[in-house]
Amino acid sequence: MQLPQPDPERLKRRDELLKCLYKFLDEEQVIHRQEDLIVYECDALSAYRQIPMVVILPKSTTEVSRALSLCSEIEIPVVPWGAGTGLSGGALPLQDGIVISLASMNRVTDIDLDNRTVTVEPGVTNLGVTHAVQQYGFYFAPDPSSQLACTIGGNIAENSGGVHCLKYGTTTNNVLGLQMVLADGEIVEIGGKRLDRNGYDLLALATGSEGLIGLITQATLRILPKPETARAAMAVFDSIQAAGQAVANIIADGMIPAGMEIMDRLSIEAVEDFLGCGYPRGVESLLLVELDGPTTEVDAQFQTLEQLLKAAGASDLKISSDESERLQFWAGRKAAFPAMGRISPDYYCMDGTIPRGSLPEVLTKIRELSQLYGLQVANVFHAGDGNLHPLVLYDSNQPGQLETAEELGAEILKLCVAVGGVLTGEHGVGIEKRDLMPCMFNDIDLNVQECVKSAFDPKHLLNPGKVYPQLRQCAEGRMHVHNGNIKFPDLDRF
Amino acid sequence: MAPTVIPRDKDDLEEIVCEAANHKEPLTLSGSGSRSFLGRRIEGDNVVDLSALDELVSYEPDELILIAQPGMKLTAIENLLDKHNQHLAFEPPHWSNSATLGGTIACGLSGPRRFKSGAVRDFVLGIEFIDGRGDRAKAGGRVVKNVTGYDLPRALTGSYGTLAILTEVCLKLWPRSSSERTVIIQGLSIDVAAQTLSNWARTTYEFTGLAYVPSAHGHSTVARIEGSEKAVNQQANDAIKPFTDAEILPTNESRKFWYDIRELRYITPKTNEELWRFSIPQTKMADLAAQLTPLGLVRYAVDAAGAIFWGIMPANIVPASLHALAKKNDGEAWRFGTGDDDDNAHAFTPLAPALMKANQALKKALDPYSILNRGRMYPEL
Repeated sequence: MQLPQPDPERLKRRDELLKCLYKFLDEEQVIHRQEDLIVYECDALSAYRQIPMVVILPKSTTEVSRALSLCSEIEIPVVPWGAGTGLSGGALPLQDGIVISLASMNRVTDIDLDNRTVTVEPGVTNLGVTHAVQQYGFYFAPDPSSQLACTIGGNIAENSGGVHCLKYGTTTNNVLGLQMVLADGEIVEIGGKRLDRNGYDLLALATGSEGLIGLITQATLRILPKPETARAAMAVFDSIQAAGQAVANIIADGMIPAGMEIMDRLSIEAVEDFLGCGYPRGVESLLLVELDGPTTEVDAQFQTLEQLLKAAGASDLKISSDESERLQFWAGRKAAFPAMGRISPDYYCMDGTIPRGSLPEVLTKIRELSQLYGLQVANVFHAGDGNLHPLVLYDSNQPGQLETAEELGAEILKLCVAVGGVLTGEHGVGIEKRDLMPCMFNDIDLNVQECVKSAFDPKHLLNPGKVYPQLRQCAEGRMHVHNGNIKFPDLDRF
Repeated sequence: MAPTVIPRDKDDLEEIVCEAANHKEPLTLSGSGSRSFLGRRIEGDNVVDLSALDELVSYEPDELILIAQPGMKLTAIENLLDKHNQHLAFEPPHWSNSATLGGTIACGLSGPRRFKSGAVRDFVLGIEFIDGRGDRAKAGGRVVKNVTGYDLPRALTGSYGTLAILTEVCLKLWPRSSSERTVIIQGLSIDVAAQTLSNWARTTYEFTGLAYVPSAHGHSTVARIEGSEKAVNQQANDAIKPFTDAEILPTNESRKFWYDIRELRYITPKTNEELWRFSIPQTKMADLAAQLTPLGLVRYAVDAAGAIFWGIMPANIVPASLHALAKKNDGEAWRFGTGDDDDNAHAFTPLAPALMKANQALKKALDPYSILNRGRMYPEL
């Protein structure tokens, strides 16, 4: 992976940068000593590390705006930072750049239950939003597995998902308003406590833009009443394909569960070794299905669900009888990633999404690729929305294994695209999948996106080197002539 | 009369836009024309009629997706989905038999279920389009969970054809509930209705419609509950308990009732009247009604638990006064054009300067020569 080369001229201007920053920031808001900067050398994609020139911790939108104006003026690249939990290297610092950490902007500024909104600064954690409103019976729906630590700013930048996306959407479905600072320091207010907005849908553009368009300094989020009942089913299948078919049957029947997760044999065994949460051993596949809503509705749907699961060949079907049992069903799934640490020194988590119907084909091919590359692959899968998380197991102490794992991962993602899916469902492109973008998008597709980037950040100072394969200015002024023919000669307009 | 071209297919269309881009000549885009009263009226030199791009590309019920060209009629799509007990959950208003998918997306039109299920933007998973350079590109995909690249499918929704011309759209579908009920409460003042709608929205019931609509004697406060038969029945009976003057509509009548709300049957402007739509925080609905009354508010209806306010105003109203009122209530307004001689120049509440600048950046990125529907939203876009 080619990272942007540091510009020696910029490195020389470090002292000048510090001097300018101290004009509007206190000493404790500026981190510049090597031993302190090392905390910021990587996000959760730890295979890539770089130490930035400086890290700053602004406390207000004005400070963010002043920092961005300064960086624009003296042309210093900026990497926004939330909690550093991203899995795609989206927050990987640049050696000749500055990291703007929004961690100090962590206040819940407004709770409005009648409008069902919460307004927060970007450094509030995902779970922090729910904690602020759960006493009133509300919660924030997106639930990425890092929700204890990851921030709302990061969730918006990455358009984070979680296990409940099919029914409740991802972050973009749950954001109503944003305050964003653009590359030149301009502060833009988008939306608010209302459903629709005039002008272009810049909320949509900003959400999932991976820090390439602006820095989020405030967000108004939609909160939902906590469902009266949530109940989970755990079913064993003798093949992962059979579990996949059960999921297809549930959707085809018209049911939209709150969550549907599939785990394969390797994942189940690893989780059971790690946690001992009561998952059956020696089985090929486990399907978790959760339904939520009014109790009468859940009761009615569960009758159908049980029939569908049995008809699809489920054995050892368990239904959670109370909240603690439901949480226990989920405990294993939620511990799937850390559990891999027990059976392998390292793992590489992929994040492609595929059409649900392609599941059997894709899983068969992943198994073939795993054999070809000589590395084990464990599969956990947000089955309802087709989001795969194959975990490639490797040992970075073995020469060449990281590279082999990355190659295998890339092959899996290409496979996802080939069956009509996408490179990333919720982790973002970042640096990790940047060079795979041409598998999914052609030059013209990418040029349009780069034009958007260039229009908002003409100097390419916001998170450069991420998402798009090469930094280039948007191609303009291309003349289009199709065989020299003009099709509508009766029109004298041209 | 401006010349009109009718591209037969995407290649034709690409060629037309390429020529226009090369010559920096503006194009006015038209579908079935059924949404012409939305947005500012623009005097197009060259009209491009997109109605021939009306093919169904694929329908995959098990994947909950449908891919179609923008000229496909909404009725054709809905009839198809109905056979599989699926629907467009954002409940797009038709307002005409000829309404197309493209016009619905371009104008960002969603119906009563919008507060619960999301707007049209939340159901556009992927698009193919031709931008203002004449480049045919794609963005998004055909799966729900996708963060690969900028979310242009959402960003282009509601852009009134000023950023790009859609040539193909992948829509997310949703299963249709087997049963529904509508609870109708009569005789509540707007203040009590606002509190009632708010209380309902805060419960765990499966409310998919919450409105306050004109009735024979004032307004009805109404709620729709969708789900399985037993569950909707119980929730509807629970919901009416605190009220004396209440009734419950069964599934078929409920469907008809919300069809009428979606189609604005309760709030149709007459001659010398005009229709306004306000998007506001739902707690402002009673305030807004009170502030519009001295300006001549003729009739009104409230949807989305209070967050969408439909007002009929006298035709001589000064648009700026209503846009200012919308802003005062932390909201925004849309004015609906009244006919061919109405330029609807103030169709949308003006954007704050910084926000307009950001809008212009996006316009420049996709339509650098400003040839696509120039001025349909704002003179600057």
